[in-house]
Amino acid sequence: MAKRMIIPFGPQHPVLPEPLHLDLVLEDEKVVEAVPSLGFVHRGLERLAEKKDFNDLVFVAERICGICSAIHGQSYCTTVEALMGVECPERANWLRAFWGELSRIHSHVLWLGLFADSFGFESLFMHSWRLRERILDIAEETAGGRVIFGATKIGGVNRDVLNEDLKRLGPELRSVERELRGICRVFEEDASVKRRLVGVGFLSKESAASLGAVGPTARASGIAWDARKLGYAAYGQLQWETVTADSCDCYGRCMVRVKELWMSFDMIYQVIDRIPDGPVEVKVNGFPNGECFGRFEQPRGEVVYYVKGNGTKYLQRFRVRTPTFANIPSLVTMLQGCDLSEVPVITLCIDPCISCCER
Amino acid sequence: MRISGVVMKSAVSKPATRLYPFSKRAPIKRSRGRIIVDMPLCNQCTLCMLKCPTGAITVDKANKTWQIDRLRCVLCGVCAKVCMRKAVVIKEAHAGPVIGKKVEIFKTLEDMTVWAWGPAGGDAPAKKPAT
Repeated sequence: MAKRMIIPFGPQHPVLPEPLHLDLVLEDEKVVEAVPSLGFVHRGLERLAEKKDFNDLVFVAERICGICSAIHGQSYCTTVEALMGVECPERANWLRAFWGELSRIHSHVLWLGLFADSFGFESLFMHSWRLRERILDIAEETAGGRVIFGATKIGGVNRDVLNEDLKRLGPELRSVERELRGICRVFEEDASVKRRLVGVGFLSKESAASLGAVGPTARASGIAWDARKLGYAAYGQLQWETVTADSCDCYGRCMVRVKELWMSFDMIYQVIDRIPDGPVEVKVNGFPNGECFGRFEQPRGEVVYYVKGNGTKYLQRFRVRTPTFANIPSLVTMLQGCDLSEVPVITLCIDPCISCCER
Repeated sequence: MRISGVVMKSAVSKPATRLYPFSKRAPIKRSRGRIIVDMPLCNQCTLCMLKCPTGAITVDKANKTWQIDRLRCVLCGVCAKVCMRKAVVIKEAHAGPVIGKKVEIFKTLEDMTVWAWGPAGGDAPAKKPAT
């Protein structure tokens, strides 16, 4: 009879950038059950939201997560704008899409590096992160910040980018894309990468749907759903397709993210070519009153924002359901039946962002 | 073996990193590096202090000082936006690394702007301002 034991995985583990703890029940080398526990980096965001001016809360929302900060800021602003009936100027919407996609590229490239690290491909990790620096330089040149963009505000964006500056960034972005394609070919075709990923962490389409998987985790299981299709910011006017894969494994999740990179680059080129002129912010009067839900697509999946105002400058309730939280049931299911050596790869393939998840 | 092309290219090209601090990169244009104040222009209206979302700025009207806690500042740029005399500005160069949690104090002395370090959260400015 197989020997049964429980081993802890995390919160401190070489492969984990953030503290996620899993109790792995093993039978010899096979994982029978995984019990997750969270709460190591809880920061009390919801309480903080009750005593911060709703305009200043944008800076807090951007700091929910370091990697998808631009999209968190935009999501919060869009939800409050919908609640207050503020019409965001057209150019600001296009700039939000520009920064959102830039943020998605740097998040996906960061993830590709971490993922390579999780299966022990260190040179791939370093080359991915080398290219990410160039994306961050472009972000700093346009938004002013490298990781925390800090460019969004309620009623538009904080700063405008000149059309000439945007046009000048085109060749630089194309050069980064060219280099990235070389690196992503390794993920797509390398035999050692395929051996570690193909067939690992299987999640069927039915399971993904019933467990509420979101983002690339769901799309790699064949669920063609992307919250950007709701058409917020300028996504309704850009031409793009939802990327899916049918392999339902870690390789499929990696491929979805790689193809999303090309889609994001394409969207950025469209923004550079087609961005309309006009103002970038409108004056916002009054205070939020009532409640509003918003759904947005982050690099990790769909995020849900809930904002409730009571007519004062302080919000009554502010709640964020982050994609990592929605993907944890899928992670637990994927881990059942895998080898112990595959646990880091499967854990990383949902792109866990624990600081996002716990707030 | 797909990585060989990338590795070969990287082997014959310049390193991706710099020998900091011997070689420094020029600040990126339009970057939000750090907030500074031009004291002769500042009329101590305290608007920047009131609008700062993190409470990083303290304006002391009695001692005619303007101080900023760089570790609290999130570089949102609200202070520079609301300053009517354009005394508070965002510079492209980033602030240097610090060892302790101290505030940076700007003070006007005979029309000369000097700055000094004081303890974070402290009310009194440093007694011996260094030029």
